[in-house]
Amino acid sequence: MKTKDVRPECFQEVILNLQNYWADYGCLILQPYDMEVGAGTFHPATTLRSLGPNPWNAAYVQPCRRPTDGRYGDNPNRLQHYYQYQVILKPSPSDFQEIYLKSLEAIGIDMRYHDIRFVEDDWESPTLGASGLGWEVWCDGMEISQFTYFQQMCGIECNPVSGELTYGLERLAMYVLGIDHVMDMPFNRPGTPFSKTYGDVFKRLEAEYSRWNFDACDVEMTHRHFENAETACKEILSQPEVDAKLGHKNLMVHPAYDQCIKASHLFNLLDARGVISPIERAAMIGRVRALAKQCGEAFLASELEECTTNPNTE
Amino acid sequence: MPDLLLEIYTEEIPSSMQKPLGEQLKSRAMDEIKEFKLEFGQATSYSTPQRTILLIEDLPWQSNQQTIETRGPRVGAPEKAVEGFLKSRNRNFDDLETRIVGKAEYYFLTEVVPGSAVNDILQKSISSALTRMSLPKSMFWGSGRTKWVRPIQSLLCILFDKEKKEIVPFQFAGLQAGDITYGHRFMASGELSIDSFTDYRSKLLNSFVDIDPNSRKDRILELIQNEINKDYPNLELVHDEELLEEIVGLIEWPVPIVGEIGKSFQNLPEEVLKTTIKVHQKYLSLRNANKGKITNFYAVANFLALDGGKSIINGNQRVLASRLSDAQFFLNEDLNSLPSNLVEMIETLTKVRYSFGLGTQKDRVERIDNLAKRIAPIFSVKEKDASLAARLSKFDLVTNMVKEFPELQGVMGRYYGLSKGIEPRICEAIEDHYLPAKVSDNVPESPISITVGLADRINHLVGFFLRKEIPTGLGDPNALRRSALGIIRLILDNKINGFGLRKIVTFSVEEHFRVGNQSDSNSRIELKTSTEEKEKVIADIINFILRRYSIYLVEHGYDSEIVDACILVPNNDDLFRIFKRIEALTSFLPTTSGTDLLHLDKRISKILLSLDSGKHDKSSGITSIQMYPGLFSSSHEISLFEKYNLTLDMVSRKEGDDFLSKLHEVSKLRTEIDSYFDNVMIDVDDLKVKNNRLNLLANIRNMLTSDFDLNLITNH
Repeated sequence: MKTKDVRPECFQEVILNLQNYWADYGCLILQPYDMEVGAGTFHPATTLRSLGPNPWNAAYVQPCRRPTDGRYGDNPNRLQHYYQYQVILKPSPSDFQEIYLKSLEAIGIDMRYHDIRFVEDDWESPTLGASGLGWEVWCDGMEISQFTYFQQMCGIECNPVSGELTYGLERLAMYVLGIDHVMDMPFNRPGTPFSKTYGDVFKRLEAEYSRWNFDACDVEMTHRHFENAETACKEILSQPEVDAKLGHKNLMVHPAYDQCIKASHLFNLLDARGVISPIERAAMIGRVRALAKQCGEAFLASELEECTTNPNTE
Repeated sequence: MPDLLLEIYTEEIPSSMQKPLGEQLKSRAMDEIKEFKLEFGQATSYSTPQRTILLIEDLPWQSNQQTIETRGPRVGAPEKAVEGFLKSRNRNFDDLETRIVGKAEYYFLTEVVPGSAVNDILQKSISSALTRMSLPKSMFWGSGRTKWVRPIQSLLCILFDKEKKEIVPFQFAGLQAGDITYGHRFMASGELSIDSFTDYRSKLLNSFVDIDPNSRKDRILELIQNEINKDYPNLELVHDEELLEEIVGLIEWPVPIVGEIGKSFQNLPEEVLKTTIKVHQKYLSLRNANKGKITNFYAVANFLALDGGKSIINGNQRVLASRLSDAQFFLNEDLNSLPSNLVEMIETLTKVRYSFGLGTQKDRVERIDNLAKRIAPIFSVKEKDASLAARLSKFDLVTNMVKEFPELQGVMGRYYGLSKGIEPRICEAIEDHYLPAKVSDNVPESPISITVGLADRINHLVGFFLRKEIPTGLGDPNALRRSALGIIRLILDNKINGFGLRKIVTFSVEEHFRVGNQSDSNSRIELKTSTEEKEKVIADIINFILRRYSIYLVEHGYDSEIVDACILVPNNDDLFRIFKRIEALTSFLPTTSGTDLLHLDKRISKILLSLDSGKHDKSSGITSIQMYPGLFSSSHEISLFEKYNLTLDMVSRKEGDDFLSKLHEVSKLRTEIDSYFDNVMIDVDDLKVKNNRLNLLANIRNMLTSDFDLNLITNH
């Protein structure tokens, strides 16, 4: 491992160290997906790429929105907008745990002093029709990552299995840097002329979005948008397979999946407004899952086709 | 004689699965080995988070030679048949032997199968045992298509005695077993080559792995006790076997480290502390004997840190403090915002939906309230006490604490109740009406808790049955079975007489049309209104409870036929009465009187069925069918008639629940019945006489039919 990974002193250095570590490992370092998502898993680089036979190694930061977790920026560790660091390795390597543990060293956790545990935690995303087995990783009693072997995605069995790592970046960085309130965390290097805290960047946004999520967001309109996204997704997938201009097959899987992501986020917004009853809730989750399933199946269909038409791929 | 050592080295297996996995591996492996007619000694399994270990002692190196005999065609059979027989086994005519079986003579071939190396047998049986494991939660990993609880990293399998060791190189999950294992993930490095079980234990102990869960548990307790004795004489460990078992499955090398609970948190309600400490952080609690409070905890680390655990305990204390300060914050918020008159909280419940079509939480609480008032007299509870406890039973659902820690529902209600000056016995009911929630829970004994507990559960069942959400198969998303079981245990454990299910359930159904049906504007589910449909719902609910009751009793060792014979009868409205009948019948049937009773009941049933085509089917109640004494002619029937009148008199004078005496009285009729059957012709042409005779028999049987259906007893 390269020696450039020095002990981080601020939030962004934790991220940079992780980026370097996973780049050195050989991952594609992707950028965040440009849509509102509830977790890094929603990025098509995880959701769709975990399907089908082709190997895939990628890592990226993904901003996540959890409207119900908003606390106006007052709570020391709860945010409606936060960052996840997401790694997906397909197929999962046999030394996955070891590789992960080394990444902790890269961000400054000295293994000679800490108690690291893999504590049972089965993961499930009902909206994505996804599930997996694995652990939450504890460092001295604190959860610092999620570690999952995907078993199912979009209702489709994963073969081969992808290994997924999710680091909750704020929480992890607070731990490494010894910070008690997220808003006090140095965002860039402290003591430099333009040093800023996490609060300088996000405090105001948290308050604004909390109000929006809980009180202002128009329920009727959001409901309508949800319906529209659902309709759009289905319509995109029901178009003829052959692209009239190209003259051959061209399934619009990703545009359709965007609408599925949108529906999922709109559902989260409605949930935060507290206007969904338990039964409606289950029904709406089921509707998003149905979209995810269709997208997954379409992705798999075009992926497999690529395999058969391109003799160079196995 | 060699021993077999098998280790499946994996990524961390959940604590609760480790022991069952080891036990299943042991029994499957033993079954497989027995298939090969191998004898062996003791088999033992061990486990750690990363290891499932099996030791089988005293196997042979070599299996015994076996003689296998195969019978061929009869002597004198067509030549072709004999040739075919020989060809199929690749043998010559000279090999044939003849033997007489029964009346004929047959050709036989005997084959001596030499003993084979047990190593070969074990390879087959171990991989077959692993393939046949039934794992409730298992997974694929990488590109493999083998399932296990978590990914397998390596396999060790050796056969060894004092002189030598052999690797048993079976294959599984793309790996081949060898003689290599690894030490503690963080405190050891490199491979360990293993020669025997003793070697395995000691090399692993040197590499910070203790394979024996019991020994790890003892070590934890010993280390803690030593430290307490030395440095913390005022502290005592709050013993929690369940938690200790869990912890033992989280570590390969226990390093308990004591931590402190910040002073400001020590005054939090004990349940709040316990929930955070135990459920979320899996720490052992320590009580300060002087203060009577939980002041410290033990985190059991899996690692001997370079600084003696200072960083580890600092980290753990920080995590705990942050969780507890959340709790403290929510607690203060609640205490500041709760009204001094807590009953006003019921208005807040208007904002919270209970469940679709069943109104708000306020509607729910009002229905529980009305039902509790209806039930209260059965337990000599004052109506106003029942009502207050019911109205306060759910207010804590809207507090910050319960939103944050749902497992504290009820507990917080009691706590806030006490802090606002509500009487302790009412507060107790706010907490205890949820009990029993799981099998291990105690059943509350306080009459107010029982009253509210029953009202809550009956209201729950009725609501969801009206909404037609009845559990089927394994699914029970609304936990209706748990509610039914709660009702059963509350009544049974408290020996409650006279709790008439039908009346209470009917009242609760009516309540659903009185309270809250309109206030829920989003309701898409129309509650049924017709009387017929209501009756059906009521019957369904009662049958649902009775079905759970029957399952519960059979699980607790009662004979299923006896249980059915006491439940599937007209008088099945009172659960505790049913139980008394079951007890009576259970002790009565094995006696000679029991045999008499079954005998006479069978005889009567049979004749009624054949001559009467079921017209006299189990009519309910002790009231007799009209008989005409003047039509009795033979002395046998007169004597039976008189004896019947006498018995009926005795039976009706017995205490309502003295079922044993009733059974006994009726059984005494056997002699008269037998002579009646032997001497009186029932199927005569004179219909009046025939019916009169049948009526007498039916009346005799009907003395018991409302309480017992003896036809259901077949195997006594």
